[in-house]
Amino acid sequence: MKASQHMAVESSTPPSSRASSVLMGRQDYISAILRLTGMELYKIRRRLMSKVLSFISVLSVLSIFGLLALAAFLMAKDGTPSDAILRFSEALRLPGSLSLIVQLLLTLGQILVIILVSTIVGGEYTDKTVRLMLTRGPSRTQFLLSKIGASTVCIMLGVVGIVLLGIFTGLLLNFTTGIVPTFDFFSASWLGHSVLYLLITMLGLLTYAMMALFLSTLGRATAAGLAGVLTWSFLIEPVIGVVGLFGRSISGPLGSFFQSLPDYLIGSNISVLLQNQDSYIFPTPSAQQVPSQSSDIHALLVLLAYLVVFIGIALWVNKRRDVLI
Amino acid sequence: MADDISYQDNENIVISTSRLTKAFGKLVAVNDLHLQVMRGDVFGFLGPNGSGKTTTIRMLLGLIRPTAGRAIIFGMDNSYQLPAILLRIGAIVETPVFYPYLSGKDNLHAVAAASGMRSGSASNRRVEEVLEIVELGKQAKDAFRNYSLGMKQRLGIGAALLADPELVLLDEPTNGLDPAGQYEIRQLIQRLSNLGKTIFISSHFLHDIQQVCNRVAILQKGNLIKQGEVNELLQQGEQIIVRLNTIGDTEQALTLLQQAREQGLPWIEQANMDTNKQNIPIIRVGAPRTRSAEINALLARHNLFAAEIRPQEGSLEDLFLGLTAPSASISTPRPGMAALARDSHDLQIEE
Ligand SMILES: Nc1ncnc2c1ncn2[C@@H]1O[C@H](COP(=O)(O)OP(=O)(O)O)[C@@H](O)[C@H]1O
Ligand SMILES: [Mg+2]
Repeated sequence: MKASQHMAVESSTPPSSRASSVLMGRQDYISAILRLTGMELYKIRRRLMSKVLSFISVLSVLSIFGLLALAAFLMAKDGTPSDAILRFSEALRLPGSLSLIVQLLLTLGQILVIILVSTIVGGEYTDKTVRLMLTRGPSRTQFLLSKIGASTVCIMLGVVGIVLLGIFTGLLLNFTTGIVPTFDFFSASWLGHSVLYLLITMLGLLTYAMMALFLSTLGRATAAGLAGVLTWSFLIEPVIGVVGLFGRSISGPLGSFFQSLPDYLIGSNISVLLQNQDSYIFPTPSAQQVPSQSSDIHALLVLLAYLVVFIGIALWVNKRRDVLI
Repeated sequence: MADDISYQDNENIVISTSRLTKAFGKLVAVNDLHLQVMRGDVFGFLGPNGSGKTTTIRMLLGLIRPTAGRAIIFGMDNSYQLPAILLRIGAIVETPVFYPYLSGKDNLHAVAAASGMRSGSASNRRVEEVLEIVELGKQAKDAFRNYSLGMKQRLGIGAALLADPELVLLDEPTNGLDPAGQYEIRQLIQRLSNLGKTIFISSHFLHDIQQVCNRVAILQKGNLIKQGEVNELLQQGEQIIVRLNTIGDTEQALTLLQQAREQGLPWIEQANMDTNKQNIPIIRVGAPRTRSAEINALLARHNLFAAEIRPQEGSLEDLFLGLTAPSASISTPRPGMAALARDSHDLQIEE
């Protein structure tokens, strides 16, 4: 008995061949993750949820720009001074529309991303499919990495899709204002900064998405990620932001501690990064676009730290614990 | 002797666990388990509900970590080489689970991608093949959430077979199926076995196991209480039923047989009073079927004339009840024996 077990450890038995109809793919680490990511995306596509979420986002883009156009139209009818109409028109066309779209992405879009990621991670526990997927070959880490991959793809496609939709809808509706769009803002540098602007938006969404992945993994449920991140981003972060303002009126170390708190929030650091791009993208003479106090490096490092913590702990917990579902 | 065989047959050991143990807090769900499954076995893993079957399967598949001990599968330690092992296994753990919003067919495609198979249409042919095998061709496009329990079980088996694995591990695959469904599953297991697959099947239906398995392990409260060839175990379970005309004779005969057991007839394992279906007193003698003439002669020498002597085949049911009933316990009574006996009735026995 003993001897046989020692022998057994030394040499694994050679695998036998499979039926000819079973076509195996590449078995290296990355290929397996890519295949799983493809499967995740396929599953997302087949869910009713993703259709509903897409519908909501398209509808909200159309309605926001529609409302702007409608307001401009009604004003024109009332004979309101064309200055106001001009401002509506600016919001409808580039570069102004970009700001509006990104704001939409970081509010409503953010909620939808959190719903999506919480569902694709927590759903494996709710549906108990985790015990199916974790007994097929890929490691738990590969499995979670594929979820991260699929989330990233969804965020990127979602941002690009909504931005394109928003830009074209805005441009089309702008015709109702009678103001001819100009493209004299356009330059290679403008394009570069706009791309950067969108990448920052994606990074912001990804950070919240990874928080959802982390909490859904920890809580083994969709609701854990959903409730957790929504509470964090729409309640706790704003409250801490207020505490930061409050800190200004207190002197001494406690005051400066309170004041520094918002520098470490996800939302405020995304705002910093976006704000630092503003002056390159929106060349309006208004005094709104002051670069923020904080540096890009600080903001990026804070966001990176969040990502490392969320993904790191999720991977660690996922790898270590017993699957009893 | 047995050790020598397993040593030489090293290549043929598919699963071997040593000291495998899992505790949930104070509850020891699986205790010090030594299992050995050989290539080509249809291995029955038996035990009442809560005896630790699923916990063992979860450990084999790396879903949970053993508290102690280890499992070697295909010669690899599953705590270090799990992915390589899993690629050669198809398994069901408890009731089969799939994505409820996908059809049966799309679920199999998802499983294919997760099993290292090429994704998309490259796996179409195999998916169709497997749907045929488990006879779900017609319902392939229905959403999984609308499947009946029987269909879920069949899809689970389909998924387990998808990548044509060497080892098929099924956790209570006949659970929730009607007799026809259970029969189909037994047929399927037989066919798979003929194809040279190694099959590990857990069940609390003794009947299932007896019909399809060549080897079994019996689990009780997390402890392995028997492991061996089904044929040998059945031989051990053979009985001779003796009926006499009067109660007095029956009692005399019982005493005689029990004395004989202690004084020179070691092949009598036990002799107990019981009643048959017509509620008539009988004696159950635990002895090889071939010994009935000798028993008859023994009784006759003492002027006890049997009205009936009937050899009876062994069954895992009898074996199990014998192993777990209070009377079978070794001299010192252990606490919790009443609970053990109660549990043994959880085992469902089909007529
Ligand atoms: N997650 C768990 N936490 C605590 N106890 C558990 C857990 N899972 C199983 N058990 C206990 O372990 C024992 C064995 O359970 P299980 O392996 O599911 O038995 P079987 O599959 O043979 O019916 C039972 O007493 C059960 O209550
Ligand atoms: Mg079970």
